[in-house]
This record gives sequence, structure tokens and C-alpha cells, in this order.
Amino acid sequence: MAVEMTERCKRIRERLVYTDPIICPERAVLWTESYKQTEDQPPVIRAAMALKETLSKMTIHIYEDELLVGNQGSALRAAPLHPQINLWFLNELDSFEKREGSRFLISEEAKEKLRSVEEYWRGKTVYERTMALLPQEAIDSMNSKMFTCSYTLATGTGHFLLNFEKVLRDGFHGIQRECEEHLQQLDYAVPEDFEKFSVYKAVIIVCEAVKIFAERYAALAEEMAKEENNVSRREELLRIASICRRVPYYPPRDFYEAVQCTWFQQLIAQIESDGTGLSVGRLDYFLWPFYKKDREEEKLEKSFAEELMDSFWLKCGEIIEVWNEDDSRYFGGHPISQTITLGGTEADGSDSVNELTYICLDSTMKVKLPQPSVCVRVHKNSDFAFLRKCAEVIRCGLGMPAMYNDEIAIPSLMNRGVTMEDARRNWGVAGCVEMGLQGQMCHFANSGYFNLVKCLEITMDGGFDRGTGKQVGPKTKPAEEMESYEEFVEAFKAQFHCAMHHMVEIGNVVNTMHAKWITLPFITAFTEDCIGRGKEVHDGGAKYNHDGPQGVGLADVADSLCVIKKLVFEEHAFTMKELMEAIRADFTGHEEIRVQALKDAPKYGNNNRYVDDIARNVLTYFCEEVGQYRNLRGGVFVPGQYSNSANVPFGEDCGAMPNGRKAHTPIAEACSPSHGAEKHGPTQAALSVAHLDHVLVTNGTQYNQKYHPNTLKGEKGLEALVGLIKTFFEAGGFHIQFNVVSADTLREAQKKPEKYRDLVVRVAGYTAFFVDLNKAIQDDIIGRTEMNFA
Amino acid sequence: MRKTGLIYSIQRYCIHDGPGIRTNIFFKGCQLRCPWCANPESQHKQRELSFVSHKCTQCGLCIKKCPQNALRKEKNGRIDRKSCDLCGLCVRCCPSDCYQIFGREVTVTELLEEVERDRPFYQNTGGGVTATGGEPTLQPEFLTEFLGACKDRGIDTAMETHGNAPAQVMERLASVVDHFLIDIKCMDNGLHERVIGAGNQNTLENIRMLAGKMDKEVSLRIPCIPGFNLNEKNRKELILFAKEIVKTGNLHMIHLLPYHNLGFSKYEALDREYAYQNVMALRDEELAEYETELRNEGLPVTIGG
Repeated sequence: MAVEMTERCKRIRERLVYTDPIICPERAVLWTESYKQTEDQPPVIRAAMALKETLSKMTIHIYEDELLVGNQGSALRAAPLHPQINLWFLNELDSFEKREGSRFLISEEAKEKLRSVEEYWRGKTVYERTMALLPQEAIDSMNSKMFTCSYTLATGTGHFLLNFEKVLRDGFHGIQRECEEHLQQLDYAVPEDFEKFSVYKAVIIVCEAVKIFAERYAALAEEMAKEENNVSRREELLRIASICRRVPYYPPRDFYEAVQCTWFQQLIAQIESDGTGLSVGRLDYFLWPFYKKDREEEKLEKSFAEELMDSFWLKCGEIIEVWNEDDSRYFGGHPISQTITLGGTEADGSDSVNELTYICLDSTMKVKLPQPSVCVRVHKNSDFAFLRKCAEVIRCGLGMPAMYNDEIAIPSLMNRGVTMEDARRNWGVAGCVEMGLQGQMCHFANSGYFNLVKCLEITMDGGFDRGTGKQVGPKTKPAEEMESYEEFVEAFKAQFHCAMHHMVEIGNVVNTMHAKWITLPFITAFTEDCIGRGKEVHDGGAKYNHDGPQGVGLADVADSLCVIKKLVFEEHAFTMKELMEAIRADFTGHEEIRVQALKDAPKYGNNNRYVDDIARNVLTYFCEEVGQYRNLRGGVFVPGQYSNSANVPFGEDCGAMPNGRKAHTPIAEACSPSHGAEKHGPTQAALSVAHLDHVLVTNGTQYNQKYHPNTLKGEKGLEALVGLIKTFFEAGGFHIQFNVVSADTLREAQKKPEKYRDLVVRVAGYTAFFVDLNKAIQDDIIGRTEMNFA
Repeated sequence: MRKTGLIYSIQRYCIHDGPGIRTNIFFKGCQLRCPWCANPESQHKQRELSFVSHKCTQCGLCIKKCPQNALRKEKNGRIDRKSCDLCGLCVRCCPSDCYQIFGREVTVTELLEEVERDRPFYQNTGGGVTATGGEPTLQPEFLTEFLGACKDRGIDTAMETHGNAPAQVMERLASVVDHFLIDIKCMDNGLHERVIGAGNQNTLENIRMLAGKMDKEVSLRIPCIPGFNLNEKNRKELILFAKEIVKTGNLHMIHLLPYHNLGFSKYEALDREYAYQNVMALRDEELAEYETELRNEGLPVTIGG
């Protein structure tokens, strides 16, 4: 393995890392100009024409040193805006530069241009059209902050795993031919055929647009070659030109062409669609035939293949999206969740790890950027050498690769109607942790985030929300009057049931608006079975269709229910009335009740069956509720259990809880134990998490563990990590990710010890939680951690 | 026979004290007093209360609750150790977990239950349980029974010890311990006795017996302490001894353990003086030469546990 990138890739990386993100008005303006000209056309054709206008006119660059070409915005790290969905940015034009996190530069000229698109879009955005249609109860329910749909109301769908295999096989030329053949069979007199005309025509426009786009790069490369004095760079540019004349319109003939083809497809999807989680998927699997053939025929040096993969990683790193300020709280650090899934199996279940898989893991380790996000599929026959390699990359401290368990994912997808063959062959991570199917699925994976803790709070108040002063759920008994644990659980279920129903109402309206007014003809072109059905991808064209809301705060809910069950109704340590009084006072003056709540009831995360069963039951109930709804595309709602960074703002929205959590402090992230609850170390916490029924959670569960680098030192550190992953998966876990803590995290732990109670520092013969050390020692460890990571 | 053992901590996911992922059981009590000791809470045979002052929010709950009035308002010198009878009320009522009592009595059954909870991790990594401390051999009956029960259940066993136990104790333990990890603090018997409070002859003999006659797997743990045992004379004698063991017995590994001062906070929390307070921690690199020296002599060696 090459341990370092080539000098060329280092320069590209440098350029990327030292460029400040800016706001780019170009896409918004071109898109709007096109829409003004196409009022008489059906939406899907309008979208196709807007894409064609954009791809024909947008600024293109071939940056110095590049082997792969294709840029997203008018300059490096220039983030586009998507006025067709939401005009939020008009209110934030002057604050982009003032943000604390996720800051963007913006020129006065850009602001002017962006203001100019308002007139056309005002009243036509997905957001406005949705809000006009929503029932008031759904809005009230959302305003109580029991859930948020801010993602779908502000951005596009995202979360597609594109069908690269089809384009690598047929090219867009092949797709265009397919559409032309379909068009010949259609009859305007047949009602079912009517809308198909527009879909096929739109896809044909898109295929032409793709050709124009790639040929613009070819022309630019030829022009640059003429001016280039350096002979080897000139040759490179001419090679780039010849590749861009070929792909992605025609299928690639070698590995280099295949990689460029893949990049173009990924890039154009990013330009067409807003929304995060547009994922690359099984790169090592679908590029493997090209790699293998070129290597066997001795046409490809391994070192060049490595450089191309590094280049691909760097290209993914260029993609940038801007979130509104509010969503930036839920999704800190403007993540794009462009995910690559490595490893996994063939359709027959056999291991599909190959030489390219290892090259991709090396690229992750060498390029060291937050994007692309890299995942690995592990199954019962994954070999030790491969897992050890993954552990080596994890140890670098990027939090990657995240590890996923095929033995959960495959039955989970099958439980939602996916065939075994599709699940084995095509499942990959779409975005954060969501199970997607490559090339086959339309996935509204972020349809809502549920604040389960807020739902518990509203349950305690009998459906009344103290925040908005409104009755937002059914009138159930206030907690003080309840006579049994079962009664409380039933009330919680009634409140959740009602909120979930409202969320589905909102989800369905949003999705209809996307299908009707946004449309994605580019992604439609290759997603199975859009062409066969003659349907746009938002409109039921895809073979599989999922909508996924997430639960957040499971651990706090489980621990709170446990306190009510054990301390109130079993042991009568205090009454429900006393507990409620303490909670409403944020435990001030009721410290003894808080101490009992904190210490006398077991907490999720310690492999204690009593409370782990409660957690499992809550999650199972959540999954059953979510799973009963169908979506508009003929698919189903699938539950998820992950939080991004929503656990912090969600916590701010909630008062004190029966588990002893103080008001407005963060709630537990994803499937992790609540803050400070984990007392028995990583093995026992992992077993608690694995006790949940992950198979039910088809939109994914997430579990993070934090380690100090010392824990992963040496060969033993790697072997133990592999052992931990294997054991967690055998016990039934789905996802695990490791934060090898940075010095920054340790500093944060110094400031907020209550949040990092579980962070263990391990040195041979010595044992301590980091937060138990005094400041001088903590500083010492921070200093050493920095040395380790230098 | 003693029905219970006294332990002060159970640590999981330990990877430096024997093969695989291990669960370390820390036994309380040690007759030696190494002045650099990183685990002061392990030394006394009695239960002890510790107080971590920087976590205290001065809510006052503990002071109100203490039946002996043994707690002062100030963070420094909080505990009046003469009045405290270790009732544990402060531990219980502190919402910030500032207090901790080190030392609890456990039965073999209870301890087995704790160990069993990590069984799935042992199976995937060849791990198991490690008895450490403190000094586990000070509780020989309990220890033998506990480790024997682990063996009966197919759980791999290791023991970390200073090795200064009667030969009969070690002989009996040999039937229930798979991996011995034995400390050699220094080779000079006089220095050993002066600084630590006992000589090293017993330890060295036990190593000879276990690794040699009994053919048990023995690893040597060498704490590398600035100003104490890093001189050439000690190194040479250690090499000589290790070569003797290699020749006649089952020497698995020599671990050079760089001195660190992470135990300092714990001395504070127990209101004790730390003699090594101002000694700088060693970095791994500083032992590279030592490691090379041993390796060149054909000895199996690694830095760290």
C-alpha cells in the first residue's frame, strides 16, 4: 500500500482544505431563468430543461493537477441554493458570514442575484405549497416540538444510492435509446400512457444535457492542452478530453473512464437535487470488474488506480451544501453524508471484498477528509484480515469506517418487502445509517425526527404542551393521577400515536409536493424501475420506496419509565405526585428524589435486563407505530433510531425528566446510554445496545463509542477492536462507530464532565475515567493525545 | 475458609493484561509500598473513602446528610477521616458522584456473575479474566476458589502479582492460572527492601519455579522508574535473570512499563501524599534503547502492557 498520497493529490487536498466555503448563486439563477421560459410544460420536463440549462451554462473548471474533472459550483467550495424547495436563504443572506458554526462567505453581488429569484418563486416553493395544505392540528403538534420535519420542509430528498452499474453498462446513450423505444409504443389515447410521455421526454432531455456537460469539459481540456507547456500535463489533459468525449454518455471502456463516469453521475445528481445523503454506495463492488479486467490485461498500474481512488475521494470532498441556521443545530458542521459502502456480499451471500476494497480503505486513511463518509458491511464470513484492516483505519481517528452488520440489515430489509437477492446485492448506507438499495430505491430517509423525551413530557402533562400552552395530544390523565405503570405506558403510547399520525400527514403532503413540483428526471433516468413503469422517481417509479422518521432520546425515555416502574409503583420510594413536583421544580429542593432516581433504578447501558427490556419494548413499540403507515409511492414508513446532533437542541426543548436529567440538558444521542448512565464500560454498554431489536429498525440505528488512542495501541489494540465489533454484531447490533478522541474532545470533556462520564483513559496498570482526573493530569493527557495525532 | 474476597474495582475491555479482551478484577490490599504506585486505593486492606473535589458543585447535600458530621464545607480536606465511619451516605446522596468507597466484599458467585457478563467478548478474542490489584495473592483461598471456578467454566485466567508470596500459594495458584504476569521492580535485593519494604528473593524464586519446574507461561512486568531502576547495573542483571529463565522455562514476554503519574489525582482524593508528584512521566520513546538492548539479547520484549 502507498502510505501517502501522491504529491499531486496532496496539492489538491491542500487547496480544498484552505478554501473557505462561499455561497454560489449560479445554480439558483440559471434554474429560475429556465423555469420562467417553461411555464407551459409539465413539471418533469421543466425540471429536465432547467437541468439542461444549468449543465450547458454553469461555470466549469478543470483545476490544476486534476485527473478527475467536474465541479459543483462556480468556484471551489461554492455551495448552491435551491429556491424551488424553500426560500429560507433570503432571510439569512446577511448572516451567513456571521454564523458561529457552518459559516459561509457571500458577496454583495451574490446576495443581489439571490434576491432576484424571489419574485418568481414566492408562493411556488415546496415549503409554501406544503404549509398551505397542512391541517392545523399537525402544525400544532409540530410546534410543540415533539417532532420536527424541518429537513423535508427545507431541502430535497437526497438519500439515493445511484444506479452506477446501469450507466457503466449502457451509458446515457443506452438509456436514451430505451426511452425512445418506449415512446414509440405509447398512445395518447390510452389514459395510463399519458403521463409517461412527459417522463420519457424529460429523461431524453436529461441524457442530452449530460452529453453537453461532459463535452464542455472535453473542449475545455483540449483548449487547456494547447496552452500547456508541461508535456506530461498536456498528455493528461488530452486523456481527460478523450474520456469526457466518451463518458457518461457512452459506457466506459476501462477503469479510468469508469471512475470519471461515476464521478459525473454523482456530481450531476448533486447539481440536480438538493438534499444530503446522495450516496455513492458500493464503489468497490461496481468498479471491480473494470479494475480486474485492466489489471489482468496489464493495462493499469496499481499505483495509478490508487491515485484515481484518492482523486475520487478528493472530488467527493468538494461537494458542499448549505443548511439554514436552525437546521445547522440539528446537523452540526453541514454534513453532506455522501456515503461509500465497502465490503458486503454478492447476491448469493458470498463475500465480495476484493483488492479494490483495500485500496478504498487506504484512500480513506490517506485523504483524511470528513467526506466521503465511509462505511463497511460486515457479515458472518468476513475474514479477520479485512476486519483488522478496518480497525487500522478506525485507529487513525476519523471515526471511519463505520461498521454495519449484514446479518441485521438483510433480514431487516426483507421484513419490509425487499427480496433477499436485492438486499444482499444492493444494500448500502444511504446518508447517515439508513439502509438503502443501490439503484432501486426512492427514500425520504429524513421525513421527521421524533423527540421521544418531549413526548414523555407531554404524557406527564396529559397531552398538554407547557411550551406553546396548547393541548396537542389526546387528553390523557395527568401523571399525578395515574395508578399503575401500565397506565402511564398506555398514555405515552396514546400521545405518541397521535403525534406520529400528524407527522405522517405532514410527510405525505411534503412528498406529494416533491412529486408534483420538484421532480428529479436525472435520477429517474437510471433508477430501477422508473423507465419500465414510465414514472418519475418521486412518483412511484422506483422498485422500492421508504419513508423514514427517526426516534431520538430512547435512553432517557427508558430510564425514566424504569424510575416510574421500579421506584414509584414497585418500591413506593416516592409517589407520582412527589415525582412530578420534583420534576416541575427541576429537582430544586427535591434533591433526594433526584438522587433516588439517579441511583436506585438501573440505567440503560449497563447490560441490566430490567431496564434494557424497557428500552427494547419502547423501541419495538415505536417501530410498530411507524411501520403501519404506507407512503404515497406504494412503499412503507420505516423507523430509524439516530439523532445526528439533534439530541442537543431537542434537550433544550425539554424540562426535567424522571430519570434525574435536569431541564434543557442534552438528551441521549441515537442508541447510546443517557449521559453519565454508563457505569460498566464499553462491553456492557455494547451488550445493552445490542439487546434492542435492531432488525425492526430499517431506517437504521446508530451507536458511537469513544476511545482514547491508548486503548487501540499495537496489534493487541487492533485485535481487541475487531473482537468487540464481532461480539457486538453477534449479539444483534447493527451499526457501531468509534470516535478515537481528539485533544479537542478531551478539552470539551474538561469543560463538560457530565457529558463525558463514560470516557475511559487506559494505561497499563492504571484505570480511570477521564473526568475523574484532576485538571493538571487531564492537561497532560491532552498534550500527549495531541502528540499521538500530530 | 474465607467466604468473601475484598476487591475495589472491576474493569472491562482491558487489553494489556493477558490475551484478548479481559475483565480485570482489582483485589484490595498490598503489603508492598512502591512509592510510585499508580493505584493508591489498592494498598490498604481496609475500605476507604475518596473525594474528587473538582467535580463538587458544593450543593451541600452530603454535609447535611452525614450522620457523623465528618464532612467540612471546604473542598480541600473535605473528609474528617477520624470521624468518618464509612457509612456511605455521602456516596449515595452526591448527585455529581464525587465520593467513592474503595473496597467491597464479594462472594465467588457474585464475582463469577460479573465475569460471565463479558463471556461473549472472551470467546471472540481468546480473552478472559485477570486478577490484579493490589496484590491478589494476599487473599489466596478466595482467589484460588474464584479462578478455579473460572477454569471450570472454561474461562481463561491471568494473574498480575508482585510475586512475593509463599511458594505453596503460588504452586496452588499455578493449577488455576493460565498466564502469570509478575513484577520485577529491581534486581538489587537491598535496594528492593529499602525502597519497597521487602526483598525480591521470593519473587525471583517463584518466577524460577513457575516458569521452570512447573512450565507455566510467565511474563515479566518491569516498571521503569526514573531514578530507581533505569541504571545499567539493573539492566544487566535483569537481562542475566531473564536469559536464565528463557533457557530453563516458559518466559512469554517482558513488558517494559514506562512510569506515568496518572495516579496523582487518586492520592489527592484519598488525602495522601504522592512521593512522585514531581517526577515527569516517561514517553515510550525513552525506553526504545532499553527495548533494543533486551531484544539484542534474544529476549521477547515490548513496551507497555
